Amino acid sequence: MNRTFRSFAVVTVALVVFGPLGLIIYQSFLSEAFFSPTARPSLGAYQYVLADSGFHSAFGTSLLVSFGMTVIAVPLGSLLAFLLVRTDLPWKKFLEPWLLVPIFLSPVVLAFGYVVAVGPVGFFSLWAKSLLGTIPWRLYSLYGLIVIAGLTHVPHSFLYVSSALRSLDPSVEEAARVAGAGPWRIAATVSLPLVLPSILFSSALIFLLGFELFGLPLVLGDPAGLLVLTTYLYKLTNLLGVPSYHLMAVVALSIVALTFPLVYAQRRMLRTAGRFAVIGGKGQAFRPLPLGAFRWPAVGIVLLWLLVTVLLPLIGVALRSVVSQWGEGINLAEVLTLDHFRELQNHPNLIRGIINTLLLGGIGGALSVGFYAIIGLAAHRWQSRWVSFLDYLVMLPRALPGLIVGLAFLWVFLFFKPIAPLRTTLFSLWIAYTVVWLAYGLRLISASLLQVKPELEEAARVIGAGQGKVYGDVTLPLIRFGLIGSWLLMFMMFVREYSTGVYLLGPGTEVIGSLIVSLWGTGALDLISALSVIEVVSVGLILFIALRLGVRLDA
Amino acid sequence: MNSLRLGTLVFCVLMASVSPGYTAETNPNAAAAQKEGKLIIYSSTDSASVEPILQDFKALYPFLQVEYNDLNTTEIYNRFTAESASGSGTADFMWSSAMDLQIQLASKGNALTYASPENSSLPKWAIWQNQAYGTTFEPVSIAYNKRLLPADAVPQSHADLVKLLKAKPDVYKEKIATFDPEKSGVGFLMMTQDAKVFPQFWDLAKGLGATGAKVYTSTGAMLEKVGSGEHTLAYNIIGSYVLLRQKKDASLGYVLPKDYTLVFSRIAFISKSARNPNAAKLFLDYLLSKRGQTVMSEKSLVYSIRSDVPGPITAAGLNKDLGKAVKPIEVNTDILAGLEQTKRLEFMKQWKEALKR
Amino acid sequence: MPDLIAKDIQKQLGTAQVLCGVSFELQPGEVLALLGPSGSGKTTLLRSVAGLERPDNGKIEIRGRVVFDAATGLEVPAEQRGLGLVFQSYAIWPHRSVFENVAYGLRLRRVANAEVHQKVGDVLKRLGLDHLAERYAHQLSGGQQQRVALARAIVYNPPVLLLDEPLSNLDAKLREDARAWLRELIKQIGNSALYVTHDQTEALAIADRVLLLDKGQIQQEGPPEQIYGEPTSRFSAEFMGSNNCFEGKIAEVSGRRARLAGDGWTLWGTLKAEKSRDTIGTGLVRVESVRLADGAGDHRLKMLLKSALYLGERWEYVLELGDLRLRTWGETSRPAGEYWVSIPPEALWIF
Repeated sequence: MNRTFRSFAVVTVALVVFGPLGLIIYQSFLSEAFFSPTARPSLGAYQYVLADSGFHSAFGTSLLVSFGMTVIAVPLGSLLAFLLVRTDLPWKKFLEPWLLVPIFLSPVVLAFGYVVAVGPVGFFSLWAKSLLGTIPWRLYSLYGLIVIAGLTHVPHSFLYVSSALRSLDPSVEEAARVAGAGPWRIAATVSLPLVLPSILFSSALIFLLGFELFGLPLVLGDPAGLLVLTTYLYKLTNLLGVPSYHLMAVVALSIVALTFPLVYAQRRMLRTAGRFAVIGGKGQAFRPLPLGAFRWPAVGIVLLWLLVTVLLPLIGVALRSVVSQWGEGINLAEVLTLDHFRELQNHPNLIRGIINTLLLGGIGGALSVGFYAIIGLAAHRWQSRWVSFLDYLVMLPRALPGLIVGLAFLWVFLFFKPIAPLRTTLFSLWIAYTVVWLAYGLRLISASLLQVKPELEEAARVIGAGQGKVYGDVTLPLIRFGLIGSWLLMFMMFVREYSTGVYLLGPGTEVIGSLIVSLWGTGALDLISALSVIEVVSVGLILFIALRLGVRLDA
Repeated sequence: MNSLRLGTLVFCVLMASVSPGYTAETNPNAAAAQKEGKLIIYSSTDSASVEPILQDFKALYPFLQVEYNDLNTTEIYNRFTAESASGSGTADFMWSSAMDLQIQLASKGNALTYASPENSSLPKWAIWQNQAYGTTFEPVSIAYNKRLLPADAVPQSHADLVKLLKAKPDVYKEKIATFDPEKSGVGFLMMTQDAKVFPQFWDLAKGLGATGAKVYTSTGAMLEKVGSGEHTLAYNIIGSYVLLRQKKDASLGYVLPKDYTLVFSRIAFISKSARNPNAAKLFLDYLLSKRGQTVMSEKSLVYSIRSDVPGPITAAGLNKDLGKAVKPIEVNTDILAGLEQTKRLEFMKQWKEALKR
Repeated sequence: MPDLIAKDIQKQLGTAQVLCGVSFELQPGEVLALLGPSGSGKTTLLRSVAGLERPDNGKIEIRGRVVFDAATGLEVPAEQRGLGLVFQSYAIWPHRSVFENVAYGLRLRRVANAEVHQKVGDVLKRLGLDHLAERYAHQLSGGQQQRVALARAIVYNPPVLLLDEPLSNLDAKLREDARAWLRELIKQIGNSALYVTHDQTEALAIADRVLLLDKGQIQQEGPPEQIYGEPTSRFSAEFMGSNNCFEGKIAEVSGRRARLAGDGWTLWGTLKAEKSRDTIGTGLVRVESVRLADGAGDHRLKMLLKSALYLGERWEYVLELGDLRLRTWGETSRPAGEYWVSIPPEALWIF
């Protein structure tokens, strides 16, 4: 049973990952769309893309953006993690949930929020202009994009570093204190160096995410003619007049080729554990490091970050959703309206989108967690090369832009007849989402599984329970809170997801995320804002419930 | 506020005057369509503005269940080609503003030949081989922000715009928006037409480059930013969109260039592999009918193509105001020249050089 | 002047009162053991001295310098108290070499590089670690790690050395060696030390003085011999050593002596608490004080040997008489049967 179960898991994952990926690879070696009768094998796509100066500059910009945002996000995220986890920073309980908000916001919404807040005629810009006579920043610029991408990715590094810091034995810091080190020195010489693997992991992750940025460069970079790889990809849909799938496939693969060695390097890095072995504390209550006189400046740093990263765009979006017009020369008090929310009712597809999103997040999220749990259990305590194979396998879809994964799934559902009828149902979206979030979900599950002491399972084995019984009677009940937590997280991720659904969008498969991208095309920003407010509120509500239930978001 | 209220009043009056006449009984396809019972439409016309048309159509043919897919032009093309190739069902009725993509699909044999009884009321250039039909008559305009730009400062023609950009590059620094022909098919189409009709087009492009104009993929995003004042002027905006948006944002205005005004038409065709061809015929006939075009003009604020529909938002109105300046983009295979790769890339290159991007 | 004075230290954690007003002094060169079962508050007391916990009440002075005073709200942060602390988990920084672990405190004190090398070298040599200077924690054995932790704590000559169960993570065998070595070392460097342990043998062996804590209060305080030999409370008596404990009726009281009687037995013992006739008393006698005797006599009982257990270096006998059940030790194996057992009244404490 065990063997079959494990083989089943590996085969299933391989199928859902290699199906779409294989199609993309195949497409990249053709002269046009693979389903076109005149398509023939060709290296033309590679030749065109690799020689295109647009590709080169987009590549360079992507590299710069990735690098820049990593340089901003990682130190800041690590600092915030140290402050919130290890010190007596005031208002910690209140601040922590807010710190995670950017993760759960659709980047298109976030970016648009920035346009309303700090764009050339944003309310904050106009205020600054009235004070200083000029606006001291430029939103539509490379550095604007880098700064915003960096700031909004702080939570990613915060999550990983803070979870490592939490499992750090407090006595290593106390030892430094007793030896005479103050809080900042402890952070710099003991705490942060000890969680270096997590810092490196989050750096690699953020660097990777930099290549997949789509919403931010679409909104912030486009007007200035700033292209990154994903927006270049988007451009390819029109450059030749008709969608050039073969070119898009090549660009997507170039992103994989670039990011995958990174994943590999990062895995290698984590293997040299010893020196950084996570030191399990006794879990006893410890006294946080007192910041002393730095308490308030430290809160200041956190609040400033929150203001710029969360409050500004949220206020921007919320504001846009309740005014009929905005900008230079507008008195906002005179244009207040709830019409945009009312207007949502006139759009049956938007209403369906809201319902579908909640269904996909709620039921779909639960099903995904179930699927991840099955895969996770199969890999659980399995000493085999297949496990590291699985490890890399699940990272693959994450390395591809969501837009392309969605497109590949559209093709799979169109041309693989047995599942074709499912295409126009939420099921197609569910599969695509589940595959895209595979790595993230599995990480959540395996983190829970690792907390189950092997003896507990072995005890059941010795008494006479088979593997299945052990999972059902011991392992799963033990991680049930972890599963509930994962479900809530998947809910938020699914609600926020936007690029994967774009190509699968149709009646029956509308979700808020992809509707927003689609509406962005028509420029119905009032509706987008209203939809976003609904999205943010529902995600916020779940986040609130999750934190109330004590869900650890960092797993 | 006052002008808004006045607008609402005018709108209400217009709504009351929808002309009756076209009835279900007169259409010979109705019976067959009733058997089909369903109609699948892929369209780039957003659901908000199409709503009155669909409602009226459903009122006429209550037995039809209409599935209206509001997609962007690229998605329409993507879906249609992939779905046709896979043999799984696709749209019955295709209605898109990407004129070139629609003609290309039709010219590759994807369109059903059907001579609509309304043919005689349409201009000749709007019908291609009884397969592809131009359904609207939409002038391409210059949109501007009324708050920030006094009416007399607004350029009234393409030539004016060129002069303005040359004379005051600093005043208009980053204040002008236009389509990005590289990313927007519609934008590309308009600009290649401009280049054909307007000898000074490349001066215009250079002027845009000198003022650091911003380029966009969608009209909506441009109008949002013109409304907010981030830009004061947007070049090559379809007038119907401005009209629709004026309902919400009173600060938007537009002018139709006096030297020439491009006219653009959303193209419709019936899919050759349509599962509900009769329902699709019914919809095409309705869309082209006087009744359909009247609803389109008066309620959806999209310019009607029929010369017998009265009012300002119609071909008749435009022709009266602009006379010979009206330059419709014709519905035929000439348009496909733009899809020819080397020429297309050559144009893009020239554009990028002019804009110094 | 004492190296350390703690006055009326109180600390509440959640709803539990962990320390209920503990006071003590530590004289220069003295090793003071804080002994107690888990939950007695000994570690909290040590951490309060170190500055890692803030007591709710009380006052702490180190060499005449007040580092904590609840009355004035003064609290010198841990990093400015200049103490040395050896953690139970050792808390060796795994990302630094042995040398850098030990040198850290000196570097913080801005000691010149040459002097750092010299001092660290000296300490490592003294602790027999000089050949391991470039190693990392995960390359060291438990005993070596423990010595690195010690080296790190003493290298900058702290006024008081704090040790939190430093030997509890070592193997039993290693622990016995380490305890002698540790005492010798502390005496050699002449430091005063506060030593937290739950192991009575360790406390008795290492300390000059023992502070026996229970439920956040000092139960008894004194030199090791006194703590073991003259318990002043039932808790002290029971906590130390290996004991026989049984109940009986006080049949007779005579001065400090009393007679405890049960089902078929009666024994004279020393009263350790106020007890009157005809009340129930608890008798407590160390296992080693119960002896097999060669015949009848005063303070002897004829008991039935139920079993003899082999413990390696000795045998343990389990004896019974009515409801009385006693354990004792002897050198040889003995068959079951009746034996005379001697229980001296000064060794039988009645509470």
